[in-house]
Amino acid sequence: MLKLRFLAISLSLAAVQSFTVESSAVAAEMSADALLEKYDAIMGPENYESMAKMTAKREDGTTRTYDMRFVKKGTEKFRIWFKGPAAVAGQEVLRVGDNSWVYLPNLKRATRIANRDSFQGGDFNNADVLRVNYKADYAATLGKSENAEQYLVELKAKNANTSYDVVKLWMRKSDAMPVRGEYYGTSGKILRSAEFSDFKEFSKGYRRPAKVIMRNELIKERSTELLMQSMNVGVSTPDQRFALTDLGK
Amino acid sequence: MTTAFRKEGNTAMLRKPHRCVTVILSAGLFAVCSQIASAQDESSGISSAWTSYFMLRSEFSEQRLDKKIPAAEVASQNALLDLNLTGKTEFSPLLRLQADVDVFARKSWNFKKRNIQTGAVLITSKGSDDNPAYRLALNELYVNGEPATGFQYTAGKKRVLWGTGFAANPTDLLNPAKNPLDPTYERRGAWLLQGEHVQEKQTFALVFAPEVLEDKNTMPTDAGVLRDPDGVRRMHSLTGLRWYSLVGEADVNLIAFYSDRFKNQKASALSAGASWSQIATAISKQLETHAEVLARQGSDRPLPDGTSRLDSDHIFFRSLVGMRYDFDNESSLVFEYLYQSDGDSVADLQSRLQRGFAAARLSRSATFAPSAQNAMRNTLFLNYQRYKFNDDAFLSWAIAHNPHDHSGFQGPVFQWTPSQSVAVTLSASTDYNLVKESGAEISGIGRVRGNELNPVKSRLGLEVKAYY
Repeated sequence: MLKLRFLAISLSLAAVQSFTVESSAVAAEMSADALLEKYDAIMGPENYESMAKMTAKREDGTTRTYDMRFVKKGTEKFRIWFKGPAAVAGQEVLRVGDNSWVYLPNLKRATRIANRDSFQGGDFNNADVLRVNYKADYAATLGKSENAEQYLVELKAKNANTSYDVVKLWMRKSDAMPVRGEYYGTSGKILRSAEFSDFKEFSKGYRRPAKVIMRNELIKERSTELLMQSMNVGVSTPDQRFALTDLGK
Repeated sequence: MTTAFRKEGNTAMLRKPHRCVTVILSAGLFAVCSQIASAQDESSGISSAWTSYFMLRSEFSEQRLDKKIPAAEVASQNALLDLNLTGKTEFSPLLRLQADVDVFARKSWNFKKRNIQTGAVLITSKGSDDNPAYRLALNELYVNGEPATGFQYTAGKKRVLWGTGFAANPTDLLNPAKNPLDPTYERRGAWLLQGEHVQEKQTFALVFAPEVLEDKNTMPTDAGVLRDPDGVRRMHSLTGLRWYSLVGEADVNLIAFYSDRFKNQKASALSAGASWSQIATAISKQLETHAEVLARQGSDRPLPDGTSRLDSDHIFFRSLVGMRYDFDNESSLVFEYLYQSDGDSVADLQSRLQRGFAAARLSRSATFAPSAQNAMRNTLFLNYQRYKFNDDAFLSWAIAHNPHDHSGFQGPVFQWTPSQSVAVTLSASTDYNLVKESGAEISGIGRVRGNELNPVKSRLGLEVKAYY
């Protein structure tokens, strides 16, 4: 069978892109646009390669853990390799612009998939994983933060193609690190919330939160933790690695 | 197409010495792969990623013995033990070893077949030697690498697929055909050499397969397995050329094949094809559409009267168009239509069966190989999948429908994964006939529909798979 359950797994990597941080301190007050730009630069460096472990906690208390390798190039190219568990090892996801494919080892081929907004029953969105470019997708304004040490950046979707209608981000004034996020649907209802922690310098001059916990606010018992185990920024990956015909190799 | 669910075990087999050599060599390769898999050495730049699973499968089959059709010998009960090793070791960018290997142990009981002369059904505890108790299956075993950026090579046994179809791939002349009711069931490739120039948005590939031959190194099962259209195993070489391009938001493949299969019969050795896949964003961004077509002068499927069409000047097409819609509730529906211009109509099938049955009676053959009539002209495929159902469950339902006589096969698959290392699968399939008075009228037998050429009428399987 075509185990498209895989999609739900890949989709549940949502938090992945949300988590890069630069170490440079933010001395002066920043505008909303500047913070959003900072967030994008921090959360989605132009080029990087990383290993990550994602653990999904479900209502019944059980967990599912996945090991993955990510490679990103520019804003349009992203590839995921599933390394474990054994049942999903060998599966891959590739995004190039608006094109996305999934490679399933038991089919021995890649299948084109849609960039879907959301998956019912899953905690995350495909676009959160394979395409994060908040500056392109959202308009930012500064809100009033209850914490004097943090900015509150409120994002409003520019079009209907985004995963969320409104996103609220709390970022530290000291270094623009994201510490909390809230994600709302078009009805105004909160769908997800994220907690960023374990700020770590992955390479010289590059810090980011190593851990992000994404909570499902509709089903409170569900949450997903994404742990970035390694992250190399500035790597130059050949364009061939982002070709459909390279999948499975 | 729907008539083509043939029992694999009753066709030509590998000779015993050949089989022994295959098993010994394969066992050695399996052991080597296991060693390599455990020999990860990061300091030397060698990286490995291998997984294994252990599977126990029980299968119960119901033979088609309700008509006077010569029935092949089929086991009613099968038990299968499978140890699989899949993965790759990268020694350097120049050399990677990849494999998908199975070791099977099988026990079958309660073989049934029909005597063509008396019509009696014979039941034996042990079947023919066609179903060995132990088997090592090399689905894939190959090395590949990238000597220069973008220039890649592959050597070994690999399933290379250029088509976009889900249930069937008309442009796939390299590999054993898949089972449309479960396309993941067939993972075998062909021994080949392939060179590719992979660029960002296009790829050129040249592949040469010295022996395109359906072998028996596969999962032994009575599930529907499509066979070569004429039901005969032949060795022949195949050279393929592929140009892939990402055009806008569409995957486009142009394909050409050269085969020496019928070189002595003045048959056209060339065939050309194309495939395409795209998300139909103008209609819905959740709708994927795809198509593939293969054209060739002449056909390896003879006319119903037995006349060869190999040297025909006519251009024959095999094409598939389909779409997949992904629903918001994590389910999807795939619909595909397969058209084969050299396939049979009901009248063609009637003529072909009449001749075939007469020949079977004359030869006192206990089996009936429907050979070239395996393909009907039109076939519809429908597959519904509900994944991440209740978190750990997966449900699918597949239908292969023959619109000529409104018959076909259908069946569900239910999978439950209680943990990340265990999967339990329950699957079933059975034939159906929507219209009572349909099919080909065969004198002395009655009406025969396309699906009734499959000796297995229905099937129930239970599978437990443990990953480690």
